Amino acid sequence: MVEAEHAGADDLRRHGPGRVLIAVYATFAVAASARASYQLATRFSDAPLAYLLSGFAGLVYLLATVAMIRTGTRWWRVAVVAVSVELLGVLVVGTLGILDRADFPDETVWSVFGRGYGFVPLVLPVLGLAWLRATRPRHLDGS
Amino acid sequence: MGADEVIGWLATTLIAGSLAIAALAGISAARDRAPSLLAIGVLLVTEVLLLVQALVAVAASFNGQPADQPGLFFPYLVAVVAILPAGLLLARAERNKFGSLVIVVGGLVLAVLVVRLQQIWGTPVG
Repeated sequence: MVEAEHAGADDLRRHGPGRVLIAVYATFAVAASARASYQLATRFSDAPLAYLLSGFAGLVYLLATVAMIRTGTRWWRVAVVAVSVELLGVLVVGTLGILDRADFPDETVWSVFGRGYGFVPLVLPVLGLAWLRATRPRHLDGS
Repeated sequence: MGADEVIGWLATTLIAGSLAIAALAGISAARDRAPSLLAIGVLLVTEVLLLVQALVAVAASFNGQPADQPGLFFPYLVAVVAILPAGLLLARAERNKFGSLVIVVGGLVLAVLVVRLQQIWGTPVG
C-alpha cells in the first residue's frame, strides 16, 4: 500500500504541470548548453569565467531535466538539488552582475537575473521547487 | 527573388504562425482542454513551412550566399525545425490543458528562435 501510494506520487511528478516544466527545462538545457559550447569553442579566451559559468548553467538545466523525467526518491532529491543550485546561480550571478559589471559580462543565461531570456530563468526555479514540494515522496512528509 | 527575400517573407509568415499556435493552444488551455484541431493544424502547416525555410537556407548557403555565422545559424536551424515535433510529442502524451500549455511554450520559443535566426543569417548591409 505504501509502495502504491509512493508510486502514485512519483508518477504524478512528471505529469500535468510537471510535463510543462519538463518542456521548459529541456528548452533551457538545450539553449544554455548549445550557447556555452559555441562560446567555449569560439572565444573562450575573451571571458573564460562567463563562458565556463554558461557551461555550468547548461549542465544544471540538463541535470534538472533528467531528474524531473526520472521517477524515484533519489531522482526527486537530485531534482531538488539541481533546481536549488539553479535558483542560487541566477540570484548570485544576477546580483554580482549588478554590483560589478566588468567581471560578469552579459553573456550567460543567468546574467541580470536572466533578463536576456525574459526573466524566465528567475521564475523557473521557483515554480520548479513549488512543484517538487507538491509532489514530494510521501514517506518524506513531516520532515 | 533571391534567397534572402524568400527567407524574409517566410520568416514573417513563420513568426505569425508560431504566435498563432501559441494563441490557439492558449485558448484550448484556458478552456481546460487538449490543443484544438485548429491549433494542431496551424502547427503542422507551420512545421512544413519551417522545413521549406530550412531547405532554402541550406540551398542558399551552398550557392554562394552563406550565412554570416554558420556555426550559429545551423544549430539554430535544427532547433527551429525540432521544437514543434517535440512539443507535439509531449502534448500527445498529456491530453489535457497541460498538453496545450506545452504547445503555448513551444509556439513562443519558436517565435523567438525565428527572430534570432533572421538576425544570425545576416542583417542587411547598409
